[in-house]
Order: sequence, then C-alpha cells, then structure tokens
Amino acid sequence: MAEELQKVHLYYDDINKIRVIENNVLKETEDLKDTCKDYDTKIQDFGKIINALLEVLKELGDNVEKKKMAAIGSMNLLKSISKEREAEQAKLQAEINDKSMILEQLDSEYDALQILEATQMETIEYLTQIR
Amino acid sequence: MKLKISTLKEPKHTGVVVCVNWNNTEDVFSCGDDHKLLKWNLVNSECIVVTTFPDDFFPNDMHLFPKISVGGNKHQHDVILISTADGKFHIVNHNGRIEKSVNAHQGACLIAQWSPDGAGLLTAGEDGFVKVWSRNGLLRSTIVQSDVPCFSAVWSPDSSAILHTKGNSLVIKQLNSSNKITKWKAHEGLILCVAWNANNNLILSGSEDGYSKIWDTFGQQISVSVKHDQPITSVSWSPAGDMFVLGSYNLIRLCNSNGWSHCLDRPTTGSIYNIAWSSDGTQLAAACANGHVLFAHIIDREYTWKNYACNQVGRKVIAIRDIMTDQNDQLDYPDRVIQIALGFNHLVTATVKQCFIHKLTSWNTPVTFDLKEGTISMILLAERCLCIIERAGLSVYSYMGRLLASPRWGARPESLGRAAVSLGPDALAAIDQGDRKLIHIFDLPTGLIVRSSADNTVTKLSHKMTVSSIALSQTGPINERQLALLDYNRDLYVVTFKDSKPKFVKLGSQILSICWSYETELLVGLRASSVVAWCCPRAAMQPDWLALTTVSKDVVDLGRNPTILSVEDGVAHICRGNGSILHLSIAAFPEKLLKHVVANMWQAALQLCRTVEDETLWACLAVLAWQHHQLPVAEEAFALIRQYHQVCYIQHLRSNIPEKLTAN
Repeated sequence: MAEELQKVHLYYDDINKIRVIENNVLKETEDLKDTCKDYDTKIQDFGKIINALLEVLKELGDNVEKKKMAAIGSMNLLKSISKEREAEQAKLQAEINDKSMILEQLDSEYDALQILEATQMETIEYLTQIR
Repeated sequence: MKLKISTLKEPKHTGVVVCVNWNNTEDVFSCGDDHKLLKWNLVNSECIVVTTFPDDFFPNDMHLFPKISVGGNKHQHDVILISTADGKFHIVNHNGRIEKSVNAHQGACLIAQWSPDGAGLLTAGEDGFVKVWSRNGLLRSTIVQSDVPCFSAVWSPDSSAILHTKGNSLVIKQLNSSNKITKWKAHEGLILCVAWNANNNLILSGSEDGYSKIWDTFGQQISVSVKHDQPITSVSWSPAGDMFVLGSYNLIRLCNSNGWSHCLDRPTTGSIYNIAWSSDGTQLAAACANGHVLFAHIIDREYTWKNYACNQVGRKVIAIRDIMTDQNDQLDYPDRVIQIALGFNHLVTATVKQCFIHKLTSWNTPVTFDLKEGTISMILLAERCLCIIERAGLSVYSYMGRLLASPRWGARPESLGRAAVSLGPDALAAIDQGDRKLIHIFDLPTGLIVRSSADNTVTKLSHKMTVSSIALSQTGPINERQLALLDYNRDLYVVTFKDSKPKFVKLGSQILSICWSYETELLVGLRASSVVAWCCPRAAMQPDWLALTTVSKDVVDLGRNPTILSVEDGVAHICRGNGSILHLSIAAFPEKLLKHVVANMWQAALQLCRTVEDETLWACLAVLAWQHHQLPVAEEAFALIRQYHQVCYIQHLRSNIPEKLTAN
C-alpha cells in the first residue's frame, strides 16, 4: 500500500500520518527551517549589537565634536585674551607716553623755576652783601 | 585740560551714526544709517526723533546753515544740508521736511558744506568732482574734476577758496582765479578728513596712515601728531583755533594748536566718524560707529595770577585757591561755565546766561549781570575794565558790572582772534577784519562820567603791512598809551597813538610774540632763541638809546611757535612749543625802576641804580629822566653810561633855563 501511495507521491511518516513529501526530505526541510530560524535570530542579534555599537560610536563622535568645539573655543579665547592684552598694552603704552610727555613738560617747568629761584637768591645775596 | 565724556547708556541710533552738528550751544542734530534725524538737548538731556527718512536715504555728511548775523529772513536760516550715498544732496528744514533734493554726483555724495558766508554750498563726491552750488541748489560751477574720489573738502574761512583732498595730497583751489592752485603731498596714506580754522588760518588733516598734521595755507607743515594705530577718521578745530580734537577707532584726543596733546581718551565707541565743536568752544559732540552720540566738555582749565590759582573742576564748579594764605574755595554756578579770566585782582567767569565778577579779596560776593547771548568767545581783562566778546558784539564793562561802551566797527566778533584785539585800561584796540592793515582804537570812558557809546573817540591807524598781532600798554595816562604791533614780516613796531601824527617806530624784527608787563611799560618779545625786553619802548626815537635800554637773554629749546603768556615783576612767563611753561627773570631791576618812575620816586630810582650798578639800568634811568624832564637825575645817569655829549647838553640847559621849569 505504501508503495502504491509512493507511486502517487504520497508517504507515511513515522507516526503514520499521510504526507506529500518524502520523509527524509521533510526532515531536511525541517532542519533547514530550524537552521533558518537560528540564522534569523543570530542576524537579529547581530543587528542589535551593531546598532548598539553605532550608538556608542555616535555618542563618542558627539563627545569628540563637543570637546573639539570646546577646544577651539578656548583656543580662540586664549587668542582673544592675548589680543586683548596687546590692546591693553598699547593703551597703557599710549597713556605712559602721554604721561611722560606731561612729566617732561612739568620737569622743564620745574627746571625753569629752579633757575628762577637761583637767580632770585643770587640777587638777594648780592643786595645783602652790598648793604 | 581734560575732556569729560558722557554718553547715554543705550544708543539712540540703531546703526552707525555718521554725522553730528550743533544747532546752538545746547542743541545737537545727529544723523545715521538708520535713516533717523535726531535732535539732542543737553540741558535736559532729551533726545527726540525729528524725522525718519526713506529707507534708501543713507547720509554721508550734514551741515547746518552757518549762524551769520546778516539780515534776511530767519526762516531760510534754519536749514540743514545733508548729502547721501545715492549722489544727492538734500536741503532739510529743522522739522525734518526735505525741501529740496538735487542730483549732484555719480556714486555717493561724500561732502556737503555751506560756505561760511552762507552764499553757496559745495559738494564733493566719489566721482572726484567738487561742485559749487548756489544757496537754492542751482549749479554754479564744477571746481574740480578728477579720477579719484574726493573724501573731504572745506571752504576757506573767507569763502574765497576750497581745500579738497586728492588721494594723499591736499589741494587749495582759489575760486576767483581759475588756475591758481596750491597742491602738496601731505600724507603717506589716503587723507580722510580736513579742517580749516578761521582764527589762525591753519589747516588740519587726518589720514589713514594714523597721523594728523597741521599746515599753513602755503602747504608748509606746522606740526605732526604721534602715530596712531588706526586711521584718523575725523578732525575738528575749536572755533577759537587754540586747540583741536581728532577721532579714530576707540580714541578721541584733544590737542593744542601746536600739536602737543592735552589729553587722550579711549571710549569703546568704535570709529568716531564726525566731531563737532559747539560755538563757544567748550563742548563737543562726536558720532560713533556703535550708534552712540558722544558728548564731551572741557574741564580742568587752569588759570593763575600772582598768588591765585583757579581750576575748572566741573561743568559748573570752579575751585579757587590763594597760595599765600592757603585758602581754598569752590565756586558753584547755576549754569555751565563757558569762559574764565583771572587777572587784575578779579576773577571773571561767564556762564551761559550771566557774567560773574569776583573780586579776589572777597570772592564769595560776585557782581553779576546778564549776557545778551550765550556764546561768549573771549573775556579780556585790564586794570579798570573788562571786555566781553560774544557773537552779538563786543561790550566793555567796569568791574562794578556797569556797561561802559560797546564798540562797533563792522566786525564779526565770533571770528576775532586773541591776537587781533587788545584791551588797555582806557582803550580797546582791534585789527580790522576786512583790511588787516587797519587798526581801530576806541577810547573808553573812565571814572564816573557816563557817556553814550556814540561818544567814544575812534582812532584809526593804518600800517603799511598786514598786522598779525597787537598789544596795548597797560599803564600810564592815555596820552602816552602805546600800541605794540607785530606785522606779517614779524617786525615789531610801537606807536603812541594819541600823538597828533602817530609814528610807527620799529623796535626789532623776527619777533614771534609780544607782551606788555601788567604794571609798567616794559615790553617783552620773543625771538626764535632769545627773549628780549625793551625797558623804554619810547626810547626808540633814538636808536642808540634803544640799544642801551634793551635786555636780551638767550634761551635754548623754546620749541616751535612759543608765546609769552604774561610779564610780571620782570619775570616773563613763556609757553614753549611743547606746552611747558618757562619762567624767565629777564628785567627784574628795570621793572622795579619803572615802577619807581611811575610813582615819581626819583630818589628811590637813583638809589636802586647806584646799588645795582648796571649799565642798562642807568641807561633806562637816563632815558626816563630825560623824558620826564628830571635833568639832574638824567645828568648823573648819562654821565655813568658815558654819553658825555648828552651830559654837556643837559648842563647847558640847566645853566640857561630857570631851575623851577626843569624841576617838575
């Protein structure tokens, strides 16, 4: 009977259920199915891992970018500070120049006054001597 | 001298302020890239928006119609000239309504300026053209055509010429003769701004190379500033011409007309595009790139006389000090102080509305009187009177505050320089502004007799040369009043103007500056490297006497353009070219002698001469005694200076003429 059925491509399996495909084929198919399932889960796991990796990398990238910006910022700040210092220095220098000019003026005025004082002392001395 | 700077906390303009201009001493107009025309009032620190111009209206320059006192309808005077980036100039009234717009240039119209006499206006543009227009905006002539933009152009003070920039050169073009031009290379960089002062006739230029330079009208350099890091974007003379201010990026500097710096400020304003002085020369307004309009006034002006010193410490406060007694005081005024003068035992201050005369012995009880107009340009002091020069005219007051005279001779008082007018105790002299060879001398009423101003006798003297500076002697009776004058060739002449035939007697040449002593007829002059004192200027009738009575002292490093400030007890106070003051004892004994002679103390004078035993002193005594008919004194003095022919002559006179005639 089984042979007849086999002729019309029907088979019995181990538990005597009627089947359209051969037993070993069936087994292989099922094996394949299992393997595929297995593969599928593995792929999914892999995807998850990759995603996690990507996320981590992205985070890292963000962090790097942030740090980079901060570094550039502080670098600029440093530059601007040095520029500010230069400006400040120039300003102070100009002020020093101005003050020293005023000092020069006052100095020469002081000198003139000292000379005047000396002349007057001389005159006084001369006059007292005569007396 | 310092600038006290004030700005509002918030800028009123939202963009760059391009131009500012004073309407009167309290009102300022400003215009900026936000198309707004603002009007600022400094008394109540208000700022109102006059108008907002259309969006394509980008102003480059603004100039208010000059305040000239000639008649005509007042309505026409209240107009503002504004040039814009689209090549037009606009005539705008004070309400902000555009009355006329004229297409003037291709590219931007960079400069627009009324002529000082108000008869026309000039415009200069990026296309290199400089054009002159009538007051109504009709083209009169195209003065200059060139291929480089003209960044700045100004009228000469007498409206007869135009100064304009061409790259790094300056060019003066006379208007009446078509081909007379003066051109010189002025800077290494592009010249951005120029100014021309009416009082000292000097030109100021500021350039991208960071220098500002002062020039005379022949293109000779008078002085050069220190180098600035940034281009000089604006320069402006004070109306009196005694100082100027320059603006650059975050910088404003006040300088003396000799070029040295009074003070430097670094406000954080960005570039200062335009600076304008108020007509009294004590305040200025500046247009800043950050939208602010900056106001500054001058404080810390110091004055000294004998043992008194006063200093303006604030807008309305003057600190006065008596050094001998160490008495300090602060004088507070209700309004802003404009002018201060100290001398002849008085402190005279002028505020916007009033004039205060403080006697130095009791300075807390001043005499006050009201002023006609709040634009005092000068106060002159003399022994018995003071002269106030305001735009409305000159007035002479007594120290009691009584009006003595108001001389008129058709002058524009606001452009009178300090060298062009001189006040003596009973006379006022002034150089004519039209014909500078002519000098007007007004007798002033003295004592208690009040005369109307029409009674004042006017003496007119005419010199053969252009007169640059005059000075009246400060003592002696009016009949002997002498006028010292410096002419264009720097020759010094003295004239006794009450003589029936006034004769100009030459005392010396190459004199830079002159000054009479306060108390005697001692005249001190300044040469390039020496100081000269003429003890008896009247002795100039006889050249050998003049030489005998002249004292000269060599002084090194007087610098450029020194001036004598005052002469007191034989000590000359000289302001050197670098701004420092030189006190030089030049004629202490002669001045003492002169004082004795003025007091008619001949015995004291003789004693002084015998004690000091100085040839010059004896010569002075000889000349003075001869002039005052003191023959015995003159005889002794002439004998000692070995003028024996004169001794013989005197002896002859004494033996032939009765003694009583010669004794008085």
